[in-house]
Order: sequence, then structure tokens, then C-alpha cells
Amino acid sequence: MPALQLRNVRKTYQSGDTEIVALDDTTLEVGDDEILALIGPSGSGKTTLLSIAGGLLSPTRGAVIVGDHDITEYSAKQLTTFRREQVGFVFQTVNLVPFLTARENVMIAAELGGHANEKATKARADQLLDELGLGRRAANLPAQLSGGERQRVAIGRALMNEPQLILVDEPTSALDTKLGTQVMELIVNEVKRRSTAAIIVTHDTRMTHYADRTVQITDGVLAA
Amino acid sequence: MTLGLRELRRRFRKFLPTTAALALLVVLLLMLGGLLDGLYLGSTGALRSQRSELAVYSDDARDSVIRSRIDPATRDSIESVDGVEATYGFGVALVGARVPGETTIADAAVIGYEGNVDGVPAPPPPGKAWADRSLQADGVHEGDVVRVGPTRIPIEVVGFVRDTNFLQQGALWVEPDTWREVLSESRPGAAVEDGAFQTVWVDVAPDADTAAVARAIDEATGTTKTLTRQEAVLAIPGIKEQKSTFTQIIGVTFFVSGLVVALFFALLTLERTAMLGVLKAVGASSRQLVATLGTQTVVITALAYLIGALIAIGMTLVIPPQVPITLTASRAVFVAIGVFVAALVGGAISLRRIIRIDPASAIGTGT
Repeated sequence: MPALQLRNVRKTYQSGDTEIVALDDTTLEVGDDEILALIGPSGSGKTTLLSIAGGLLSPTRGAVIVGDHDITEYSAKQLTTFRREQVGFVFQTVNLVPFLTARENVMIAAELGGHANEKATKARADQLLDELGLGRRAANLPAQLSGGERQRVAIGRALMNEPQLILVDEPTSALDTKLGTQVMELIVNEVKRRSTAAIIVTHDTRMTHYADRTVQITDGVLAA
Repeated sequence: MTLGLRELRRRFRKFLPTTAALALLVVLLLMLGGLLDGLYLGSTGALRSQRSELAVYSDDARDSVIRSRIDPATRDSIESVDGVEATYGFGVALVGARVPGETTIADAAVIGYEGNVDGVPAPPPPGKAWADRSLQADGVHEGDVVRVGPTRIPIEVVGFVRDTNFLQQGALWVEPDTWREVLSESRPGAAVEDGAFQTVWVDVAPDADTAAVARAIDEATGTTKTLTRQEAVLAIPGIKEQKSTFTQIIGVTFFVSGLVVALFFALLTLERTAMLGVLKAVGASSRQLVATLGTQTVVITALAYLIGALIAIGMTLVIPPQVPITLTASRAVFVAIGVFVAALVGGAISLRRIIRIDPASAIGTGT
């Protein structure tokens, strides 16, 4: 089963009397262990596509199916649960919760879901941090971590609930080339190791070779 | 532990100024309330402690105990009214009292009474008095003979009672003839004849309508104005004005408390909009984020109240006893409820902003 299916998805915004088309008649399928690179210039619609795939935005028209969840008609409450349980996000700016330790940041989605077994959740978070090379930094606050370490914690947070789909927004834009390469390799390795699907939005064409497939988007329209 | 509590624990310095401001407002509220209660209780105890439901004044007294006169004939008329079960004469003389071993003259209210007063035993023999405990601050002890008025009439204190003062003056409860003697010596122009009092308190029969009996008394005498006990308390000079003034100041202080919390959380929410967007994106519901704000509001307010209450209690211990401040449990509960309500209403101002934060803002739409 594909990890993601977008069927004739259209997303428009109203700006005064003008209708702005952010995404136009988009159809896309991502395999269950496929890494897709989505590239395009600023304003091309790639972040809108990512937001719709992750249940952050609802489409104006069309269908969105993630795994076996047709989320097209989901309510805001259903989307909240869906995001918590089925999707992992890695944001452009790292955006860790500043007053939570690395371990607590990784555990946040599980805690928000009210998972009863705190001990198991903690053990999984520690295991993830170990795998990401942050075993000894689990009790550190984000302010005590380097930029690369924070990005790795964010990756751990995205992987924590074993999501069907990982959505990565410009992961290297705030990092230098060397660190950016390391972070990309880490994301790809972790995603591949778990046989999870991922969409990586980037404007950096040097990073596309990490993906199984690259899709270009321009003015809200996909081109293979 | 919830997000809100973790943030409070790890970033408490951020919350410290608001907690401190709120604690100071609690001090202000408790002290203002304490002063209001102290002034009210210290001025009204002699009337509040009456068991009778009605107080009869002469109609030209403008509701003042000191100006009122009820002669024996008028009292007979009162007692003849249906529904009047018993009457008790009452009068006050405001005098200076010389206390053995003390150089300062204490302010005293010599109260002549015939009984039926809560917490005050039956009238003592002539020349003796039950003294209010507040007079202990002026050096009065049991067995002391205080000398009252310009002619220094001796009155021996045979014991103490509490919360029975009149117009902030320490009460000395005496039998009627001793009171009349003190009144005629201290204010010869205000002296009353034997058997007369300033007011008469009336017990109403259990099956009688109090308001109807009050009207019947005034109709029967033609020269009196009958008040309920609560009306008589509020008719004491300055009481209504004190209550009104302090109540307004206390109300404004509650408003400021709410404003402090509202501004703090509005700024805090604005500052962490991006973080709240990320939390929503990874699966936090608006309800969970609102609960975070609610938890923080409650904890900050509870802490501020505790600190404020301790400071207020400490201040009452060092304030001279002449300052009429009384911290009561009911006042403490009232301030606690008021501060919590003001803080929660203030915090609620940020609810709409939190609910409206778009989870899509975490990755910035439109690109």
C-alpha cells in the first residue's frame, strides 16, 4: 500500500477578490519505503503540498490518503490525532521546546497522546537518542546542544511514534554544507533503516541524490 | 508532569515578576480588607452583639445612639405593642479612661445595658465592668480600677469580653446606673433621667412579623424610629462610607490583578506563538495548550497568594495595635477567590489567540 496518495488535489487561497492557486490538480503517490525529494523555487507550492500531506492543511478539492487513512474529510480534532500518531515532522527551523530536555522533546508526541506506559516511552526515546548519537545528551536542554545536535533531536521526535510518513521541510537550509550533508545522510539512513516513506522538501539540488525520486514543482503544478 | 508545570519549574525566572506583582497585590488586598474589617468590627461590635432583632431610637436622633433618648413612658408604650416579647435598655458614653500604671489615656465606651448581649455576661454590680479585650493593649488587666471621665469615676474590671467595641473605643459594659453617672459627669448636657436610656432593644415574639412589629412600635409611641439590628449597625456614623470606599478600592485592585495576569500571558503567548504552532503540528490539541496556560495561571496565583498572605500576616504582627486591622478567615477566603477569578479571567484573554494558532504555521504555508 502506498504511504501517500494525493488525487487531483487543489488548494486555493482568497486574497481580496483574487483567488490564489497554491496547488493545482496535483496527483502524487509515494511508496511505503520511498524517499521523495520535492524541489522548487520559493512560492512554488512545495510547503503547501507538505502541509496537506501531513494533515496541517485541508485541500480545497481532491483526496488525501495516508496509508489506509483517507484524511480528506477529517475534522480538526481527527487531524490532530492523525498528525500525532501517523506522521513525523522535521521542520525547517528546528523548533524544539526550549524548556524540555532532548529526551522529553523526543517523547513529546507520545506524551501528548497520553501513552500510559511512560517507562517504555522513555526507553524508546533513549534508544532513539543512542542511535542518533545523542545518548549522553538526553538530559540536556536545547540551549545546551549544538545546531546539528538539535536537528538530530528533531529527527528523533519525528521517528518516535514510528510514523507511516515522515515529512521533512528544508532540513539543511539553516546549516552549512558539511553539517547539511551529515543531517541529510542521517535522515535518509534512519528512514531507510525503518522502511518508512519520506518527503523531503528542499531547494538545494545538491541534496536530491539522497532521494529515491525527485519531483519538481512550479507554480503549484508537479512535473516528473 | 505537564508541559505547563515543567516550564514553570525550569524557567521560573520568566514568571517571577508576575508572581511578585501578584503577591504584592494580594498583600494590598488583604491589608485593605483587614483595615475595612478592623474598622467595621471595631466600630460595630456593641450593636452586632445584641441578640434582639430591633433597636428603637427617638425619631429626632437621626439614627444615632448618642443623640437618642427613650424615656420610661416611651418604653412602656413599646412594651405594650403586640409582638414585643421583651425590651432591654442600652446607652453609650464615650470617655477617656485612666489605666493604672499607664500615662496614656485610653479611649473607652462605657455601655449601660440590661443583658441579652452575645458574649457579654449579665450586668455586673454597680462600679464594675466587663471590659473588651482590646483594652488589654492599653494596659488594662482584670482587677484593675480604671478611672473614667473628667471626674475620674472608678470602675473595676471584673473580666474580659471580645468584639464588643463601639466607634473604635474599648467597651466597658456596666449596669445602667453606673452608665448614667458616667454620662452625666462626662457630658452633663446629655444626661438622662433615672430609668431612661438612649435606645431600647426589642425581642420580637417568635410568631410575630419583625417589620410589622417595628411599624407598630413607631405608631404606638409616635416619637420613635425603629431599625433592624443590621440597619442600626450601618447607621453608625462613617460605617457606610468606609464600606463603600474600601469596597471600591478593593474592586479596583482585583481588576488590576486580572490585568497583570492578562498582560503577562498575552505577551507570553505572543512570544511563544511559533512554539505553540509546532506543538499543534506534532499533535497537541488546543485543549492541551489551554490547560497548560490554566495550570500556569493557577500555580502562579496560588504561589502569589501564599507569599502575599505570609507577608500580610507578618505585617499585622508588627503594626501597632492601635491600627484597626483585623485579618479574618472569611476575608482571606474572599481575597483568595477574588484573586483566582481575576487571574483566570485575565489568563482567559489569551485563550482565543492560542486556539487560533494555525498548526500549519510551523512550516509556513504558501511557498
